[in-house]
Amino acid sequence: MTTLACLLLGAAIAGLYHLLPYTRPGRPFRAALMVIAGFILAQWGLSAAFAGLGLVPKGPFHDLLYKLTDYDGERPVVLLIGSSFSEAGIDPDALAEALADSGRAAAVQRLAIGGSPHLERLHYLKEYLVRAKRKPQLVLFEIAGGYDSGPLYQVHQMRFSDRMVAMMDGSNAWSALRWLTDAEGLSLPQRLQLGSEILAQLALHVSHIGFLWNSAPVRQAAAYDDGGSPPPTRFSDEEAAELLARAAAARDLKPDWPPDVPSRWMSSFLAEEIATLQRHGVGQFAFYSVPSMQGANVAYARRFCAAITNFACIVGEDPELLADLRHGADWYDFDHLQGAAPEVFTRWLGDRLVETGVWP
Amino acid sequence: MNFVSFEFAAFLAVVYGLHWSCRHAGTRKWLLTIASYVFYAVWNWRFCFLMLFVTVNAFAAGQMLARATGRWRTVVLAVSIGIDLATLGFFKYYDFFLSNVAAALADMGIAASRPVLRIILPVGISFYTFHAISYVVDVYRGKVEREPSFVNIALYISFFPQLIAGPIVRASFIMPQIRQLRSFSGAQQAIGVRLLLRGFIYKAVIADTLTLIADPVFAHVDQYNAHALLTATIAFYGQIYFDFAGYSSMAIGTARLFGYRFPPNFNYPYRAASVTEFWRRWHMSLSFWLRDYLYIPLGGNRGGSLFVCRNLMITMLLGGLWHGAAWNYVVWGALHGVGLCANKLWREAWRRSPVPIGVHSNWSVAAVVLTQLWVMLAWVFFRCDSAAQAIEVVAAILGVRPHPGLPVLPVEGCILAVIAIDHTLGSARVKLSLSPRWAGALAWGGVGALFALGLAAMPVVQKPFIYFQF
Repeated sequence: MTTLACLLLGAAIAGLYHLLPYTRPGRPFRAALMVIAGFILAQWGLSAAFAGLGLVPKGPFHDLLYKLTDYDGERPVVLLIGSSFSEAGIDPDALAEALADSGRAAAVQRLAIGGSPHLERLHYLKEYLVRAKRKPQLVLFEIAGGYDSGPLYQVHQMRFSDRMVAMMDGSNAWSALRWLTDAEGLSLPQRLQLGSEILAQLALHVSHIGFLWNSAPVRQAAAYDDGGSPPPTRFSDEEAAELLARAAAARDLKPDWPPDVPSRWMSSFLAEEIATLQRHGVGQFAFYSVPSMQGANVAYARRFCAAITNFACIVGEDPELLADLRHGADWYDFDHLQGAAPEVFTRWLGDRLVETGVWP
Repeated sequence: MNFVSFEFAAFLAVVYGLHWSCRHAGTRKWLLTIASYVFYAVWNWRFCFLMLFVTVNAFAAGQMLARATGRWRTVVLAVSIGIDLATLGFFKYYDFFLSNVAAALADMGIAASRPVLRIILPVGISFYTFHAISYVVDVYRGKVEREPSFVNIALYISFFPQLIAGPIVRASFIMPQIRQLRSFSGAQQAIGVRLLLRGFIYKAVIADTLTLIADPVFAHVDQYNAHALLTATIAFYGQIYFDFAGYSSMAIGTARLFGYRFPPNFNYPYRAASVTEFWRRWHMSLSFWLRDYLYIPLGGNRGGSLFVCRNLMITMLLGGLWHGAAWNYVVWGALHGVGLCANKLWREAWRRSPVPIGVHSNWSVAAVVLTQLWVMLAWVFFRCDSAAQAIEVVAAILGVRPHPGLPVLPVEGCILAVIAIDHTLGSARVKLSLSPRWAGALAWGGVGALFALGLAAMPVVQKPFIYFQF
């Protein structure tokens, strides 16, 4: 139906074009101003029309947001923010049960989508906070060395994808441009290229380019094509046990990750994210890492938690936990859990949250 | 570099700014020539040398024609055109020619190894060789003076708005403009912006949407049912018009921004009531080029009906082959040749009729419908990968052969409505009675608003212009 609608809209636009009066521009500057004014007015009209029709960019976040923000129950909300590590490794129901064992039940919501960089998470977190019927009481942030290592990598990683365009609003573009000016070790051409890419994606976002093709009504589950998951890696029990032992012994980060953990930009980004949440009445925060068989990820989480003093920080490397995850079938790949493993880890995490006093 | 892309927008902005900030005509021409070579080099820098070679050939021929006399002038003309055609033939037709020779020999029982070179077809070669030929022939005929400045010839042949897919601009039309300093005019800029917007709407919004209907079906003809094939055929009928007319509009508009006037390339061709009229409205720069540089030298209308039909068939067969080195293009050209001959013979019979024949008003509608059905039939051959596939499509649509398979959304009525709206409103030139102030506000505010609407309605994945492959 999108094809038909766009075809008819195309006919209408072509028809209107032919009806435009032919006039000489008396003053070119004035004509240019008129063009810009017409463009801006039309964009406002489009924004209003899309909002009225309930159209949102296609993709996984809006479907998830609709589901999460619709909660209006009595239990306080615990919100987890992360990427595919949390998406695969956290079972919200299991966490709710584990927290309920403390005597205070919670509604656990997982705002985590595969491949989601911090900018995208912040963008949808803001939207969540605006729309949520119940604001979260506790917010848990995922720790992941790959995502935390460099802001520009994230801008580059998804450049010109539908998701990147959907999240690149003025605020995110401003953040990305600030990071670009602060970044070290970049040549001028690289800065110019990245800067122009950021601005181009901002332009794509604000001018609704291709929006009718890439949007869906918010209540309707949009067909999201993530290009398919890679095939799972097959580990034997011995391999899994050995990799976990090696990861536990690892101390080094990946060579291209910054040595200071958390990095300067990550600290300021977290401060901004927490300030945003505090403005919406959220008072409690904690950090967690999902178990990994990559030593660098574990080493990063360890260093991160060592540096965080004002909030609880839980690294998923407890020997007892790892003993339960040493089966090859527990691992989708080096960093993602599968099968019964997410429940095992989530219950362990719930217990730690209760033990450390983060909950209740 | 696609006209509908960020890269082109940035390129155009930079070249436009530099062009109008230069005061001297010579500097501007050098700038536009260098920019055009950069534009071409983005695709493949190696072929810039080929374009330079064609330019040098045309320039040298122009110099020699000015000095040569008598039959030497004809020799210079023939050698120069021969070099252009050999260049075009090698890059475009070498593999096609050899594979057909080998197939013919194989039919005769002679096994022949084929030294197929898999030559890359340089983008726009069909257009810039025709520009070069146009210059040499126009100098030979005395329609344009020999050009002493190499940069003027280089700019004429390489000027980026028309470099990749035309329009084919005659040397006699554009050289006087290139020789003069172009002055900045608000009216010219306004026309340029309007044409760019029109091209954008045609290409990015309508043609690219129609591509989404036509392409999947033509990619797997055997998997779709007859109704789906009809829908795809109508979709392609619309797509190729909006795609090529859109490209031409953007090319003409871009040239206007630099102060150059190109001739129109399309004039609502799906209103045509005969194939002859169709070619006066479709890709006019090519059809007039073929008329003046091929059809008329062949003898044109001088002679009996059979002789004229022979000239028409040769012209259209070569016109078909010009589009691509494949038999389906030749069949496409042949179908148009047959249509032109039929129209010629019909008019001849009409003129010679001893009894005046009254024309019913419905007849003009029937003539448009018949002509467009013929044009649509020809487009099937143009679009399909082979003549055999085209026959399969036509047979399925006509119900000659059952063709079960997948359906598609039946939007053929909607596509025809889009074409009808464009052709009716476009050729009607409706004038709203508004005060000059409101007319100005509506005209320029409307440009911005329609651009915004077009951006929202365009499919995100842009397809290259169809004529880029020729």
